[in-house]
Amino acid sequence: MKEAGVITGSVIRLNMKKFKKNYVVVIDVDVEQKEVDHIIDCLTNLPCLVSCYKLLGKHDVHASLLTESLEEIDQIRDMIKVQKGVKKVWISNSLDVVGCFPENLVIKPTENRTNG
Amino acid sequence: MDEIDLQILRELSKDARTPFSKIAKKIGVANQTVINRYNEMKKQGTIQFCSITINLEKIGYQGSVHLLINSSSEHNLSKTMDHLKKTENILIATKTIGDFEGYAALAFENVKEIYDTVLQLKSLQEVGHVELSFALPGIKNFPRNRHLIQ
Repeated sequence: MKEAGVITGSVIRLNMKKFKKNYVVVIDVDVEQKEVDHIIDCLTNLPCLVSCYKLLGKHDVHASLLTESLEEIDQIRDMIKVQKGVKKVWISNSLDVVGCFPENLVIKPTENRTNG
Repeated sequence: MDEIDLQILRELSKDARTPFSKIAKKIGVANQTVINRYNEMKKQGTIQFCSITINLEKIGYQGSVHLLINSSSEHNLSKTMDHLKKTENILIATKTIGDFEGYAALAFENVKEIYDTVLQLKSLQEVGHVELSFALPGIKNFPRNRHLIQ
């Protein structure tokens, strides 16, 4: 499955509060289409970034970050707001540890599956 | 937590399946030291779990959709979160403060699945508004402890 690209890697999940990363921040950015890649580049430079990708729908870019303080969130928002083409930045903070539920994923046999 | 602990975490962050013996050799300590330190960090709750990452498209999923949720007036999303935690293919669900009151990520095989899940969600009394955005290919994921590695 690793060779076939089904399993892409292995990760260790740490309690980030032990590293003073107290805030999980969800950011959605509305930005002109031609500036989307630029915003992704800006976000990628942030050491506190956990994930970042383009969206199709109400918003254009999504990012999740871990920050130490509310001030840090404020600085990040201000940094994004001044970028070219940005229309609006939507920010929400998770109230607690973000719930991950990999057990909810329904894994069914696929047509391409080989023996074993 | 000292520098040896951090070095162990750095190595495991690159690949969580790195053998303890390899880590011990790389950072110049005994195997047993790495094992003891790992067990202690797990006991203290610093290490929560190790897991594999999966390419959803390879197991038949078209992608994932984000749900940004706000409650109807005079309600909060506590019951909605309980509902989402038990919903098939909801991989992430959390209450938030800010522009939205809740966030969830749904893996989907087809549009009907999204429709059914969102309809079910909207039928809950406390749910006022749900916004959807599709995640496009090219997701960039970074280790949560990226700052430790750099």
